Amino acid sequence: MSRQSNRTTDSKKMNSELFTLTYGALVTQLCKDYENDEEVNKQLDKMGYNIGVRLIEDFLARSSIGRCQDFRETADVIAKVAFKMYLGVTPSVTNWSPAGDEFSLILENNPLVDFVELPDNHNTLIYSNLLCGVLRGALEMVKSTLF
Amino acid sequence: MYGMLFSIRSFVSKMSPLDMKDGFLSFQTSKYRLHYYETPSGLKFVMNTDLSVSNARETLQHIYSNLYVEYIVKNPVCVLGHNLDSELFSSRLDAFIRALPYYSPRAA
Repeated sequence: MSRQSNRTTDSKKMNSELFTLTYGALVTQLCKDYENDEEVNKQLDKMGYNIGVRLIEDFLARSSIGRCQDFRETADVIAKVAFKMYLGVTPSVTNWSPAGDEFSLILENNPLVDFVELPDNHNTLIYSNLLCGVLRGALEMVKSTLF
Repeated sequence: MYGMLFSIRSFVSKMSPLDMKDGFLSFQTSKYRLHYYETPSGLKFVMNTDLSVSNARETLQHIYSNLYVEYIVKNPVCVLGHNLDSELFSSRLDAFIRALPYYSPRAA
């Protein structure tokens, strides 16, 4: 029994490092191809969007969560369920705007940026912009339409 | 068929006296029963059975999470929103339906 659980924690750690390295290689290649931070940000957002559009289906299937009643519930579900499920981290939801229509997700430790340091010549690069795209794509698929 | 389902769905939501939990589940006529499952992402699953099947919601949920998500969503070649173009999905779905306890090959 203990050997089984050892194996699963080992394989999870393995996947996380491979994931971090894969993402790093992806961003590095994008920087080489486009040579322009703004363009790379845009591409990361587009890629994230395509991921998000599909990821939401997997999320809904696995978590069996129904529609959220309001935006605050949405924020909580994103931080406590979704991020936990896919990245194993729980960001904090802070900085609500007075109108209650904007908030910030603060990631204490972001698995995408483990071991990563941005050099000075990439000041405008948003390294984790893929995550923004994923959120955009996923939320766009569940925005309230009819009813 | 979409128009009919949409009308029934909004009718059910307006009729519910209190908080509507699952909404429209199924309707039946003298000949068949139509089961309906909708995901929060707007995906609609419809299954027609005979009158002996009372609740197919779990079946439809299983089809969504274990078949649709696995074989269509996770397949980058399948364009979401277009026709479901995956042989693997069709064959697995067929096998799953045939294995259902209430499926009998007598008809069809």
